[in-house]
Amino acid sequence: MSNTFLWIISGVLSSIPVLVWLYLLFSDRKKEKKLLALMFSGGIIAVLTVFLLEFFWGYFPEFDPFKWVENNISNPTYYYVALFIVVGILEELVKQMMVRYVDSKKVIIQTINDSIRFGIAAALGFAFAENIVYFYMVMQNESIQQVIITVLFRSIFTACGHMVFSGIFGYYFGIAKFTIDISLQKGLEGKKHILALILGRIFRISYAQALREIKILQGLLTAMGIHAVFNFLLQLNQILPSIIIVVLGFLFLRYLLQRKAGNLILISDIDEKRRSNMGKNDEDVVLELVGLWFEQKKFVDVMHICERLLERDPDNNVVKLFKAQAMDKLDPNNPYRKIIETMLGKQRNSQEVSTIAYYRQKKEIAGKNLSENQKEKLFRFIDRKKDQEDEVFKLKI
Amino acid sequence: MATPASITIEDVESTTPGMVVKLAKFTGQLDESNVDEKAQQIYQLIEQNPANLNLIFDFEDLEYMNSKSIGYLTDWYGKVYENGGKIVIAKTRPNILDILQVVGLTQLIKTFSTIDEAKFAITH
Repeated sequence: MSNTFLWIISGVLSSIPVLVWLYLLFSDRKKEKKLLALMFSGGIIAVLTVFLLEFFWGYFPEFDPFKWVENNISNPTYYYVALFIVVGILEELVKQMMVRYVDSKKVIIQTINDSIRFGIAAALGFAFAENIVYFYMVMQNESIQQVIITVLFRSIFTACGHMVFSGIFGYYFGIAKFTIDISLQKGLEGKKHILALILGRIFRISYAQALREIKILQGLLTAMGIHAVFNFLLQLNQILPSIIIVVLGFLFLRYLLQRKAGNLILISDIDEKRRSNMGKNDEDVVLELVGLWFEQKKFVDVMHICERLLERDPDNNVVKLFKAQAMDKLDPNNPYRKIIETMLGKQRNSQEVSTIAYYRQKKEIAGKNLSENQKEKLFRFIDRKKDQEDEVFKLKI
Repeated sequence: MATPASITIEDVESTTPGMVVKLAKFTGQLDESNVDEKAQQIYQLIEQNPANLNLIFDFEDLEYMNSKSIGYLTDWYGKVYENGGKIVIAKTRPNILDILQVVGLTQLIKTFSTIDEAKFAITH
């Protein structure tokens, strides 16, 4: 078969899984198609960047990390570990550079989930271009059986692996992008990132800025680490553990994408931002209370206060974040909630009982035209619900 | 140093037998430096009067309430209400009333513009 024909076949074979994945993941996002295509192209360019780098290292081997590994590590096991760590680092670095570059030019990331989605689109572009080269090489040198195995495995698991690695980086990049609002919210819950405090002091940068850099680095290291482990396991023919890594990562991304907090639009035009009609100090008091009650898991109260607060200050991202996170905690599909329910063997528990609603219900019952017996029955029902709530809080899971 | 704040408590006459009515006058600013200490006064009052305690909080001279003090207010309400009592608030400054409304406490605790109205509401 001619080389041109092999390239065409490789292109067709690698585009099939990409089209399937794009359809499965993004068919409902009609408005974002152009941006997703842009990120997809960014992923393809990232592969070309890797090839360019390898071309450059051919002329300047002193900068070649692969050569460095080859020259300095003689133990074959360590050599492979190092080699695949370098591959993981390199691929994740160029992919994340594309995501950051496109976002800096087009400001496409408006929510944390946007960041995950665009990371996934870039990963698909990367997997598409990388697969063309792999398929071409395998078709040139291997048997038809080997070609089928490679095409199937790379189409499903390697493409999925790239999506997981870049999606996880996308999540951290999204957090990093909105660190001002997120760090304010976490601060109200009484949570401070010690390392960000220390780095902020050392480098004389703001706490939010230090936290932003930490989150980007954390995302990059996590993505590179998982990628390196995945590559290394594959090299040792440990197919099952590598599949488990990808499946778990995929489920984690699915969970992240379902969260309401991740879909909040946290970017806004400062000129269009509506002002709060509540006094700054008064709003701060309410926000502190929201943070306190969120920490005490009074999620229904938090949600109600946030709703009232958003009527007064509709563009406050910290309030939006608290509300969305409280809703996520109350979501019946929330995995943490499911764990608690499984452990206690109860259908519904806690956190749905609002302190204010609890007493309001009692007041309403007391004011009703009911017999003392009926009132007592209703009071007992409300108290039983409250007892369940206290029981769960005591466990401090 | 603790910010100046005080709570003075006085008895209010009630015509209903067995009903205990107290007027608690708050002054100054309740903040992190003093709120835990001042809150104990109300908790003691609740402990000393385990049943049918009715409280009128006079907030006329209360300039500031921090988040913790609002948490305490919710807790006092729960304890008093559980024992058959009531809490009402009188003469609240607009900024504090605004906070209480956003938090949702005005759904539980009635607010009045005068002490007399509050007394009337609690004793009838």
